[in-house]
Amino acid sequence: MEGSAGKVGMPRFTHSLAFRRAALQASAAAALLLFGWFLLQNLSANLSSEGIAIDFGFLSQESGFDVNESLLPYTASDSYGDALVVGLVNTLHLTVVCIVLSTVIGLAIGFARRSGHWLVNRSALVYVETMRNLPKLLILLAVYVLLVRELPMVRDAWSFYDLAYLSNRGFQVPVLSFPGSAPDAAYAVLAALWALPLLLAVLGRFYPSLPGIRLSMRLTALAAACALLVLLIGYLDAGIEAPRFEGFNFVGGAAVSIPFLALAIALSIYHGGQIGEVVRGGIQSVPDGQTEAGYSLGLRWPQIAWLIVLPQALRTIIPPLTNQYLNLMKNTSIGLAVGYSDLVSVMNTSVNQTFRPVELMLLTMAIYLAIGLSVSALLNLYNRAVQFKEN
Amino acid sequence: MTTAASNKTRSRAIANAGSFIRTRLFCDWRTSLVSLLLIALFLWLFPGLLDWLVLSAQWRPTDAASCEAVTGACWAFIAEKWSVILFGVYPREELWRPILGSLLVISCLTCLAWRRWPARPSIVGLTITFILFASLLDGRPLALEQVETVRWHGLSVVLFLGVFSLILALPMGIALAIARHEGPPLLAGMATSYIEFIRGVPLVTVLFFGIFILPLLLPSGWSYDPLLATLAALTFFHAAYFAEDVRGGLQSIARGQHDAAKALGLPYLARVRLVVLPQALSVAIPSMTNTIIGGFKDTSLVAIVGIFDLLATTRMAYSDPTWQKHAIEGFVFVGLLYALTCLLVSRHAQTMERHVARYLSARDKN
Repeated sequence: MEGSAGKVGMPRFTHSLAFRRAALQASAAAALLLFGWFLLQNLSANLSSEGIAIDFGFLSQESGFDVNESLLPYTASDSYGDALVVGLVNTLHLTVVCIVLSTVIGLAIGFARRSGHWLVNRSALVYVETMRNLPKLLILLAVYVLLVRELPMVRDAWSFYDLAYLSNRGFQVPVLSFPGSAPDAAYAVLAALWALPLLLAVLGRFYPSLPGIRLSMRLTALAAACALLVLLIGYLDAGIEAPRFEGFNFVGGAAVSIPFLALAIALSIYHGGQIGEVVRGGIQSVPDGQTEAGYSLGLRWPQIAWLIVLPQALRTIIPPLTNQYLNLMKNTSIGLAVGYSDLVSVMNTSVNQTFRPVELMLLTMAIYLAIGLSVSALLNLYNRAVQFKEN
Repeated sequence: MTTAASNKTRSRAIANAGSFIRTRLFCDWRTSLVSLLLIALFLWLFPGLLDWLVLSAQWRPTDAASCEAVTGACWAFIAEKWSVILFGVYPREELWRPILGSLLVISCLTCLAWRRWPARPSIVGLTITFILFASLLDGRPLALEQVETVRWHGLSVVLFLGVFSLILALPMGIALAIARHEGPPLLAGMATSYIEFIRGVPLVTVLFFGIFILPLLLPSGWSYDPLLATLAALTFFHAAYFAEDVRGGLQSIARGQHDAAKALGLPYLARVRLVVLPQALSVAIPSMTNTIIGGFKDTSLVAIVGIFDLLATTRMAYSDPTWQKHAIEGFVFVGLLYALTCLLVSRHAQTMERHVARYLSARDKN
């Protein structure tokens, strides 16, 4: 009698929510640990049967392979670690170029999608839909094939005022050259001198309330930066070194390779469409009354777009735009398909040479994660700066 | 009588078009300027494109030499190489198997999209289709000659990987989303770190993980198949993205829904299945559509790790020395296939969205 009363009156401990949650968590953790142990066990068994152990020491060994293009000095006698750094720099270089280009395209497309002009509106829609429905790899391969096939041979390269040349070997561009041999420290000091007023000018754009940073101040800073740049070029006796055609190829200047060109074009037009939709969403979130108020104040359309609509739209645009930029960085990994030496491509070559997939994959994924997390942290800070100030 | 009526409609249409042109394209000088510039751009762009695509193109299925004579596209390339582009080096005499299998998958999906089906028959239908498709291509279960997975190419790979990785990823994504949204802390932490990890790395590295690392993680006796490993990698990848879409839906559901279902005495799983998920998934349709379309398009990235999808087979087709000049025709063909599929998917999603919106407004009225 008492036992049954206890059963009915008191809920059993095992039926309580707290117990169930604890049991669920404990079993999930146990399952995960068991599964991880199983995988690690297999991994070590497989590796020891091949006679290798996890060891990052190989990173300092000589790599023996060359990369197609590099911003840093690199030869085949450098180490695997150096090769990975070169790959990472290539990835970042491509990402920055694509971010700039795709943002420009995206802004244009976004405003065009909100335009009252029927033809502009529809053309932007067709562009966005095309980019939405085609794989990026297909666009990349088509652009690459078109560039390789349609550009002229080196001998008949298209010349742009004898300064730059476009051929199927790449885009040869002029560079600033410094015949005088100033030490590196002098360059650094001069660069810092130049960057300071520029930073001041840019900072004022985002923190107009900072003391002393008014429009006049910013303009002065900008002028100072320009003057310093001119002085700098004059002081170092800098000249413009244009590429010249000699023998069978170009010498001098710098070359933008065809894979880089194809990737920059393909990823920029692809992500330009996506960013266009993000920008359109942001513009849509700004009430029409804001535009009408701008017109009634006598502003013109570009002023309204730049001073009224865009700053307010940024609040909505920044979070998805962050995502787009990170996607863009991750998508540069398709460069392997056209032979661009990005991080993944260097990793792939290294795995094939050393058979150290575990270490190299861990390293590559960690690098991507680290970049992704730091970029989103930075953009979160910026996001906080452009949000509504309520106090 | 009828001619009079049609004349009337025609004259009205002309009048409408006239007023459209006047009011929308040439209403003031600035609009007119933009219109004229764009029209000039189109006039510069389109005739050349049209000429290349249609007018000067070689439409008759002939050999490569006769394409030398025309300035436009050489569609004879597609006529000659369609089987290579669509199915790669699958044995010629067995070609009916991938064709039948692909038709089976496409018709099953069309059927499921046509009317709304209850969950159980859809799952059963999809499972049967998957098994039939794989058996047809492999051959052994149906007592046909075996064709190894390394010879599954083109459309069959795109359907096998693209369609089925997305289907398999959906339940996993839902489970992850629920764990992250309302699971106990440890479970939520595990789900969150998984989702953030996958979303932080490129798909290409996940695919390389499947190719390089997965064989090392399996017990040494197990057989390893690159195609299945890629299917697993794609599934795990898409699941994280689905999880975030579904989580967005879950967040939009009022706490009261949970409580009401609890008050009715429904156990947890029934609450989730009958009350929470139907609403959360309806809200998540637009973002899930984006994931589906993006995921389907990104199946093409498997070409980078050496699986022969449609892009790799197109490459195969135009690396034939006699057809080397006609890569763009191949890309146009494959691009049209992709664009058509993605357009159909987004159309279907829009229909579903409208359906949900109608249902919701009807519910709110009552």
